[in-house]
Amino acid sequence: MAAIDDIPFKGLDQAAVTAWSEALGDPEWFRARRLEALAALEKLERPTGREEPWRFTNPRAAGLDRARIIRGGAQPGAPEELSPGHGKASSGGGSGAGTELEPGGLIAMADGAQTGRPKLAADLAERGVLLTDLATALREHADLVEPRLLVAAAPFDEDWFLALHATLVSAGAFLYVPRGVEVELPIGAVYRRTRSGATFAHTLVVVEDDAALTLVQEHGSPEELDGRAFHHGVTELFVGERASVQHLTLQEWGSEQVTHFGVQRALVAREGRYRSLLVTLGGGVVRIAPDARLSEGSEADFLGAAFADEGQRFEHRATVTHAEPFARSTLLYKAGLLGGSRNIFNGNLIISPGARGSDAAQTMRNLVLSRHAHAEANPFLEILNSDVRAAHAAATGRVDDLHLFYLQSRGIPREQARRLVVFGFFEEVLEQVSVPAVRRRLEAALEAELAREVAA
Amino acid sequence: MVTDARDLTQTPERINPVPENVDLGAYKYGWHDKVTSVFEPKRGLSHEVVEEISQMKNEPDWMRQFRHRALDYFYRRPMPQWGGDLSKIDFDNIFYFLRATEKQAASWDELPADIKSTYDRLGIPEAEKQRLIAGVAAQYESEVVYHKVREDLEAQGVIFLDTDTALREHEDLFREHWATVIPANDNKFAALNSAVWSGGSFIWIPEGVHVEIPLQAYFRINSQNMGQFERTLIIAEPGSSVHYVEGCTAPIYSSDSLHSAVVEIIVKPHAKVRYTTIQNWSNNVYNLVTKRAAAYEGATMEWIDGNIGSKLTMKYPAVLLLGPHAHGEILSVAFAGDGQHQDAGAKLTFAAPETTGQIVSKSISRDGGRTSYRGLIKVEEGAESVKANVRCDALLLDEESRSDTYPYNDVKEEDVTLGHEATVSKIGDDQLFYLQSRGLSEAEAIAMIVRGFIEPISKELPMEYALELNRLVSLQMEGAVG
Repeated sequence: MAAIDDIPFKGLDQAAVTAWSEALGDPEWFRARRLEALAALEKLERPTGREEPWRFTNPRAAGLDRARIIRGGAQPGAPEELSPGHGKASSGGGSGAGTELEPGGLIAMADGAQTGRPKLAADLAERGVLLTDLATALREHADLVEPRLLVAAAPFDEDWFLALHATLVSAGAFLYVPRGVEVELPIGAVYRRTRSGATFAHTLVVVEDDAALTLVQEHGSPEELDGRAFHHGVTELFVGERASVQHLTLQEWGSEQVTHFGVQRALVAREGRYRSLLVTLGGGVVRIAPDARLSEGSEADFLGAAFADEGQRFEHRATVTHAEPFARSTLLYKAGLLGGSRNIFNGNLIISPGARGSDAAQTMRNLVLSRHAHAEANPFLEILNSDVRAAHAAATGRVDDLHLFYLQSRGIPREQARRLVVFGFFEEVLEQVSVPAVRRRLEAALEAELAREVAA
Repeated sequence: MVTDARDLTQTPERINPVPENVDLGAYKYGWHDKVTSVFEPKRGLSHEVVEEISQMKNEPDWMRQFRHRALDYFYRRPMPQWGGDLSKIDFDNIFYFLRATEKQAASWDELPADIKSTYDRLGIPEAEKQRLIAGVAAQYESEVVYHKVREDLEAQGVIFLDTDTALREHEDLFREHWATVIPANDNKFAALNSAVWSGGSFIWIPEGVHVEIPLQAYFRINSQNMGQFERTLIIAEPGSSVHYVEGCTAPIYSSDSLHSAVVEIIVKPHAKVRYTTIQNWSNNVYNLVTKRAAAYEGATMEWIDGNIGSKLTMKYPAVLLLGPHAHGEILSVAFAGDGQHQDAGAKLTFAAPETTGQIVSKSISRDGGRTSYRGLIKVEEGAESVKANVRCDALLLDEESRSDTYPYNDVKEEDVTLGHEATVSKIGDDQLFYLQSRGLSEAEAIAMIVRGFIEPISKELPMEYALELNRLVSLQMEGAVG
C-alpha cells in the first residue's frame, strides 16, 4: 500500500478509511474500531449549529467540507529539537529565559503526525512511566489502550465529532504512570500546526492508583498559515484512586486561521484529585469542552483564563458530573475581552441521583474591555439529589473606575493602572497554579497580550 | 400534518367521560361541570378550523388573514427540542374552540347556572362582592363568559374588555398595538395562539390614570382535550399604572389539555404595569405560554409568576427595556410535585442605556418533580450603564426530585454590571429540629420553612392571592414528610 499523506473529508468510506488505517500502520483491533466509528458516524446526526451544544460555536467553522485530512508537514525537516513554547507568547516577546518549562518528558506532534521521538527523563522510565506516540501505543500497549481508547471516557458513538475523530485520528500521545509513582516534573505534549488542512490528535493518559502527574498540553502555530487549519484534539484521562493529576492546556495558536475543537474527558476514581487549567489566548475559533466525572470522595478543580482579541471567538464549555456521593468540585473561569471579540463560558454541573453530600461551586467572570466585545457566561446546574451544597455565580463587568482612580491617585499612569487592574483580575486564577514554571509562563503570556493591547 | 376538521357527533358527556376511581389528590379544582356547548365542537387543527373561528367571531379581514398566516408559521416551525417533553401533545386530538354560552353576562346572576356554580366553587363572586378588585373577567373554555368593571374606572376611560369584544369596539386602538411585542412567528406556540386565539383580556389605561386596585381575570378549562388560547393585550399610556391578576384552573381528566396563551404588554414612558399570575392548572395540562412586555423610557414592568399546577409549564416572562431608565422585574415561584415539570424562568433584554432589571426565582421540587429555571439576560450594544441582577434559589425536598438552573448571560456592551447567583439546598436538619422543639409537627415545620423560602414573592401578591399561594403550598406539602 502506497503511503497516503492526506485524504479528502468528502466521500469518506470503508475503502478510504481502510487505506488510511493501513498507511498509518494500525494493528487489526484499531482498524476494526475505526470502521465501527465510521459506521457510527453515518448514523449520528451531523451538528448544524442549531443543536443546544452547538448554539455558540458554528460547527461549520471546522471547514471540513472543503478540507483534506492531513498527517505530516508539507515541508520536510520538521524541527528535531523540541522545546516547548512554540506559541506566540514566546515568539512574540515578553517571555524571557527562565519561563521555559523543564519537563520530565516531552512529546510533539505537528500537522497530524509525530515529530521527533518522545523524550522521557531516565528515572521516570526506570520507574515504569511510559510516554509514547499513538502508533507505538496501539501496537505495543494494547492491553492498556484497547479497553480505554475512545470507548471509556470519550466513547466514539456518543457524538458525531468523536466518531469522526476515531475514524481519522493520525497522531497522539500515550502517557502511563504506574501505581504509586509520583512524577514531579511536568510532562509536556506539544501540538503544532504549520499548514492548512484538518488534523485529529489524541492524548490518552492513564494514572494508576496513588500516582501523581502534571501534564502540560500546548497548542501553537506560526502567525502565517497557507490557509484554514482545523485541529480536533481529544484528551482522555483516567485518574486512579487517590491519584492526583494536574492538567494544563494552553491554546496559543499564533494564527487566527486555526479553528480548534477540543474535548477533554477525565474519569476520576474514588478519592482521586483532578485539577484542570485551561488557558486560551490564540486561535480564530476555539471551542474547548473539558469534562470530569467524579466518583465517591473525589475532587475536581476547573480553572480557566482566556484573553480574546479582535476577531477571536472562544467557547469554553465545562461539564462536571458528580456521579457518586461526597465528591467536591469547583470551577473558576475568567476572561478578558478586547475589540470585537467573543467569549462564551458555559458550565454544566450535574449532581446524579445517588450523589449525596456533593459540594460544588461555579464562578465565571468576564471583564469586557471594549464596547464591541460580546461575553456570555452560562452557569448551569442540574441537580437530582437534595443532599448537596451547590452554588454558582456569573458576572460581567468592566474595569472599575474606582480602582483606576485609586491607582492614578498614587501616580500610576492610566494605561499602566488599567493593565494592573486586568492583571489583578486574572491573579485569582493564576495564584492557584502550583507549578512555578507554568505560572511564570502564563504570567508572561498574559503580559504579552496586555502589551499588545496597549500597542494596538 | 393538516387534517380535516372532523365532525363529532358525540355529546359532551361522551367527550368528557369522568374517569372512574380517579384520584383527585390534593388538587381542589379537579372536578368538572357538565356544560353543553352551544355549537358542535371539532377536534383537530386546519385552515378550515381557523376560518370557522374567524367567521363565527365575525372578524375583520385583516385578523382573518393574520390567523391564516400564523397557522402557516405554526406548521413550518419545528417543535422545540429543549425544555420539557412535548412529544405527547397530540394536536389533532384537541378542541381548538368551544363556546359554552351564547352571550356574555354583565351581572353574576345572568350567568348560566352551571358556569356560575363553577366559578362560585372557585370563590370568584366573593372576591367581587367584597370589592377587592376593580374589575373582573372570567373565561370559560374559549370565551369570556362574565365581565364587570367598576363604574368609576369606566368614567376615567379605562378599557377592560375581553379581547374579542375589544376588537369589535376599538379596532383602531387594537390594531395599532396587536402583535407588536410578540409577532405571530415568534415561536411555535405563539404562532398556534395567533392562529386560534379566543378570549383573554384587553386593557387600555389612559394617560396619567392610576388604577389603584387590581383588575382580575380567571381562566378555567372544563372540557377534556380542550385547548385554551387566550390572548391578552395591555396598553398603559404614559404616566399611568395598573395591576392585573390572573388565576387558572382546570379539571382532572385522563387525557391532556393544552393551554397556550400569549400576553403582550406595552408600558409607555413612565407608566407602570404589574402582572400577577398564579397558575394552578391540573396536572394534565400543558402550559406553554409566551409573555412579553415592552417598557419605554422611565417605565416599570413587573411580572409576578407563580407556577403551582400543570403537567409541563414552559413559560419565560420577558421584559424588553427599550427606553432609558426603564426597569424590569420578574419574580417567579415554581412548585413541582410528582409528574410535574416546571420549566419556568425569565428574560430581560436591555436595549437602552441606564436600564435596570432584576430576576428573583424560587423553586421547590418534591416527590420526583422537576423544576428548571431557564433565564436570559441580554445586553445589546449601545445599552450603557446597565445594571442587572439575578438570584435563583432552589429547594429540594427529597432524593427523587430534580432542580435545574439554566441561566444565559449574553452581554454585548462594556459598561455593564451583571450579577447572577444561584443556590440549591435542602431543608436543614437544624432548622427542622429547632421548629419541632418549639412544638411544631414535622409537616408544619417543613411548610413553614417553605413559606419562608417563597416569602420574598408571596409578600408581593395581593392579599387573597398570597393566602391562596400559602394554602396551595401547604396542600402540596401534605404527605411531603416521609
